[in-house]
Amino acid sequence: MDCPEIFSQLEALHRDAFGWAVSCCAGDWHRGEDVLQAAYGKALRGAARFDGRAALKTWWFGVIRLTALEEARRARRWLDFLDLWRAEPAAQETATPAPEQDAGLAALGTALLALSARQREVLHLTFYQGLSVSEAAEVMQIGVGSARQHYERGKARLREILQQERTTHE
Amino acid sequence: MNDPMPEEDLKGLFARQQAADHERAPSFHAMRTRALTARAAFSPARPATWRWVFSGAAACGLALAAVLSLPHSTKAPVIAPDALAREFDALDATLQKSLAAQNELTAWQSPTDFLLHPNHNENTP
Repeated sequence: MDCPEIFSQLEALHRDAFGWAVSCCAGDWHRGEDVLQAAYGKALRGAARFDGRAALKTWWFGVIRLTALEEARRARRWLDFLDLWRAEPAAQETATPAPEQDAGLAALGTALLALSARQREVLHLTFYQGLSVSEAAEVMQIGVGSARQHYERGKARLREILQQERTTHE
Repeated sequence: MNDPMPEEDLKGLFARQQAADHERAPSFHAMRTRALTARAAFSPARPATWRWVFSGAAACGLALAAVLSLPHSTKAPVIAPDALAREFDALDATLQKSLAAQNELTAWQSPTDFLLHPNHNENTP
């Protein structure tokens, strides 16, 4: 599949891809945008090629996930390097969530951050993106059994945290 | 496939999150344009250009090194003036000996040489 054809299909996935990129960056919208931009760059340069072995959405979300991991690694290396020149270590990088979120969404964001990265990923892919657990496993490049385990544990933990949050507010 | 079905309450919450994300998502065309601009800066011709530049610089360096090292290897050995004088003296002595030997050789006469001399006997026709 050539580049213009791919891009016409990626356009249809764009908004969901943005949501996934933000999720891969632990809810940081700015970093999510950078990651998606970098992923588009990869597709244009041919650094990421769709070979048709998987569904386009699965492939594209896998590319975005890997790009987010690369960006996070690069940012960590840069922070480590800066720490060498600082008297005190840098403060933990915090996500910049979208402004004007309602309470429910803010609670969801906080609860998701309390989960492990794998649990967050599988829950986003299934609940938000509507993928099956096996498709989520393909995106995450893990086995279906492992993905299912992350899904079940993550879902239980998420419900628990949200319930606690609700009880605290009531 | 019998994947577990997501709970409705969670699904509703994620759907709200999705709507909020969709509303704030940057334009696809703007992102594509930025990616195209970045791609132009990261043109695939650049590595090839750099390869040529590096190869050329390496070749120039090698040529320069060869030019600098060549005169050193072919230069005639430098002889100290004393040694040169000694060598000259030795040559001179050898020449003198040779000349002396030549004089001795020319001075020598065969005992029967007079027999062959044409003007030894003036009466002989």
